Amino acid sequence: MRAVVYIITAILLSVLQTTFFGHAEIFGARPGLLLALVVCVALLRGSVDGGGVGLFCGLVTDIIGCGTFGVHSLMFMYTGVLAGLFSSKFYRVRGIVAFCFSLAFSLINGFLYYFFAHFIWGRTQMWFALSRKIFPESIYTAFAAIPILLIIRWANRRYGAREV
Amino acid sequence: MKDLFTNKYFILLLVITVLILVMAALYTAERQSVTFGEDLVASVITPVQSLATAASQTVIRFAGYFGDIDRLRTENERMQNEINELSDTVRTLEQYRLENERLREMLNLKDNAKEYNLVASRVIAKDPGGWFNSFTIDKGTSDGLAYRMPVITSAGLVGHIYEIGSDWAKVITIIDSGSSVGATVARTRDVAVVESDIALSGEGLCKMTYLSKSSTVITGDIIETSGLGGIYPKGLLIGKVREIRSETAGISQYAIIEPAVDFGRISEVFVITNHTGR
Repeated sequence: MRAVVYIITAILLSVLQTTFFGHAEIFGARPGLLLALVVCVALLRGSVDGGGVGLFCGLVTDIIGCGTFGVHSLMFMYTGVLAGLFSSKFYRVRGIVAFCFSLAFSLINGFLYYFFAHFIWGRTQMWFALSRKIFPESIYTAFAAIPILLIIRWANRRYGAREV
Repeated sequence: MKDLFTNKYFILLLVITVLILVMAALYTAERQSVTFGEDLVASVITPVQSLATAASQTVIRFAGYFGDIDRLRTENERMQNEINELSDTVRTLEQYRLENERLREMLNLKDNAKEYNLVASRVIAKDPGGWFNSFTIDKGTSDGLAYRMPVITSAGLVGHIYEIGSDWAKVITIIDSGSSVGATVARTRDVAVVESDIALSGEGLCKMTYLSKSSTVITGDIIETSGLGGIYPKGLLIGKVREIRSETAGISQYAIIEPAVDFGRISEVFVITNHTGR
């Protein structure tokens, strides 16, 4: 049942990201809601759930989005696995933890994406990419992680899932 | 280390990684149709996106209503002045039109204006990431659309269809950093390429490259499609020249183009169905 909640949440967040947040950009940035979901699940449930949810969210992003198929699937899956490795380090995952981890992983993902999709192809406006795309999007994503953490925590409690 | 390689989750991670890389390699090449799985997922999400877009636009319109009042007042004054100027221009143009008709009759020229078959569709979603300038529309192959058909608005060229399902299609815009369009300067007939990059696409602009140093292009020149390249028919309005700059090497110049279409506010587009890009 918990998996169903994760899947429904992922689909709803992907719809929100492509519709409402497509019109509600702040400084040209949109939050990476699915990435925030992956980080929150990974922090609360560990690498296995994090990697699984990451793979699903990545596939959804690859299918409904643009660009090379598989890029988001791999990045989100590894984000889930890596963020999950830190899950046992915290007695209780608070909003600030989700905020910091989402910020860090969003920065890493954004930079990797820019490097492989733009930089190596000669589109090297790195300062623009950092200041106008990667930083604003990461901050937006980090803020979005806080309510998403509350939703996942509610789902875990509701369906009896043990948080790591 | 040995434990790591015998760990079932680690092996699963490697298998999934290899599978995704194989799929990425298979699907990287340009495709005229999507797989059944992709079509199924997109067909399920499309109606939800359609509803969510309608709801989002209602909320955003309502929120923007109060802030719009001041802006509308200023815009009204500006437009009133513009109407006065345009009235003068219209009178002059009417004289030119009559003269043009008379000259055409004298030369017995045929009207070469093309007739396009258009299918109207709504924009229902934007790309989930911030790196691409693409969006999804609510029409697909069942409405007669096909891969690489040009997409326009009443203002000008938007882009083309690059992925299509039964009742949805993804449109890549001309301001996407991977896009390039064969273009011509309407006044001088100089041929060049309109493309974008990361910095310009963020501002909704693109640039016209490969302009020779001897080109007499000036600010305000109208840029339209040249028909070269095969995707877009000739004569579609792209935008106008905002600024001209020299390339670093100094042997050519490029122009910053302000597209005729406001890509931040597209909600409805038209697909040209009687021109399929090659």
